[in-house]
Amino acid sequence: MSNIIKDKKTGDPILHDLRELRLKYELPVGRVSRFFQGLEEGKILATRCRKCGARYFPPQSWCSECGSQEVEWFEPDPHGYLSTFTVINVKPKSFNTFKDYVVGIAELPKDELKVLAWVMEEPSKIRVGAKVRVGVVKREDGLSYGIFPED
Amino acid sequence: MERKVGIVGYGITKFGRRTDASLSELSWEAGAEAMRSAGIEGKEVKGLVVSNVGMWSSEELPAVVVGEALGVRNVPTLRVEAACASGSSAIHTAYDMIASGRADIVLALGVEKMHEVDTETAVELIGRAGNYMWEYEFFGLTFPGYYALHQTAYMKKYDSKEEDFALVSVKNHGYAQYNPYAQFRNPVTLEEVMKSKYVAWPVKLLDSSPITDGAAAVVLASSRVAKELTDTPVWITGLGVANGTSNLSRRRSFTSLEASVEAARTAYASANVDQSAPWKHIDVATVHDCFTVAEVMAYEDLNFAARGEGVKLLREGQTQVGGRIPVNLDGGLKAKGHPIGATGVAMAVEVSKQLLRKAEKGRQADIRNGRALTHNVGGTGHYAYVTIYEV
Repeated sequence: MSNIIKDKKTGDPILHDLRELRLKYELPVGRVSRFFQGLEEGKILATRCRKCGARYFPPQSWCSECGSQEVEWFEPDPHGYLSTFTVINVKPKSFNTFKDYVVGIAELPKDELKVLAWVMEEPSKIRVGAKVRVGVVKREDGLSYGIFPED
Repeated sequence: MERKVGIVGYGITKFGRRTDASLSELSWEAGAEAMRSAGIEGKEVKGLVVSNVGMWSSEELPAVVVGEALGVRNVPTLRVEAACASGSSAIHTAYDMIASGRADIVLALGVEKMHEVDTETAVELIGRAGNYMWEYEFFGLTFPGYYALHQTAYMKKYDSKEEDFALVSVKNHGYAQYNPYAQFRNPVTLEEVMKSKYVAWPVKLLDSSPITDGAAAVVLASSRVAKELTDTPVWITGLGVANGTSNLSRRRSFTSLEASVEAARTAYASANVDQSAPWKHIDVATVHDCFTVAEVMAYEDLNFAARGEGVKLLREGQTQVGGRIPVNLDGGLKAKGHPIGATGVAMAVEVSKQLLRKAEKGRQADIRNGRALTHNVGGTGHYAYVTIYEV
């Protein structure tokens, strides 16, 4: 068969798949659509249980703690500090058009929430424990949110 | 009351870029060896549990592929997934099948064939192993990235350096040279680790486990059947499992994996191991060193060292042969290789060899208590399995 090739490293014969699958998911976001509206308004929104007060980021439409479905949207205090960060040097295939990006986790102490997002700063200037705020980011691939340094 | 369960046979393939063998062929290599060493045939197996994460390999129903390859027919058969801890989940599931009285002989087989896709695609698929929409879709985290977040936090909290973590790689590569099944049998120096390029700062290539093909299998049996088959069963005497949140942003700590702590607590309690000084009761351990920081955190989560003292334990050589508790004498995931779904089963094979004093020259621990531990993490503390084995 003409589709038998040699492995680049070992030289072993490989059947080069004739079938190709392109995979792109369609993710339901109807129950958290208020979050995406919030981004349009320049806000990062979270949810809070009306019964037990548990807070959620990422937002969710039910309470995992007490089982209630009565949750409300609120805007957490966006100020906090950076818990940790990394620079993604070797990128996944679907991110290979991006430059190296920084992923960090911001802790928002007032509402006891954490937010994982890109840190919008040069890696050499980033320090664990630094003051940050979370905010909306316009990225080339759409509206998102990020972690910004604060003085 | 639960019935006692033991390992009565094991098999493992050479790990690496196994482009010479398909998923079915790798499974046969490990499975046939395991059954041969147990002195049984496929028709005597009364339950088959296959751990395989897949995605990067073409077979969608690996458990039936394995059954066909090994002549195991008309028995309860399933595939299990617990990310990188899938192998341990297969062993725990097989244990339950036997302990409950449903079967006397069960084969737990882990297999992964990761080189059916290119490296970039593998990086993509492993990176998705967290919370897909909120942490991957938007921010493109990678597997080393998840652990890098922990290493950064650890370095800050305990004032440690990249060199400290590199010592894990030096130790594990050092032992892998004596393991004929290991993917990388070359020792590495501290300098070489430090000079390797960053994959997710501060994690470097030589801090990272590789992409690996491989399979491992164990035959488990009830105590009655085990004693008929062998004079040297390796008993499972402690099991602990816990899960963590899918979102890293919902974790309390980035210097520890809470699921590991919980799994260890349960396993120690079930095996009557001293919670505060487990090394006094355990001769040898394999811990989940997918990245070097993961091994350091494991020392502390398993109570081999106090909080913040994992690096010191390593530096003092306490996790080498002759130390407080030798760890990853097979080269660990770092150098032996990490075929995701096979890793947990490979750990069981390794501690069986250690307890039976059958490890290759240069990497055999002193066996005094006759007790060993495996620690197998799925994702970044998304799952944790701790298992205690005794002879």
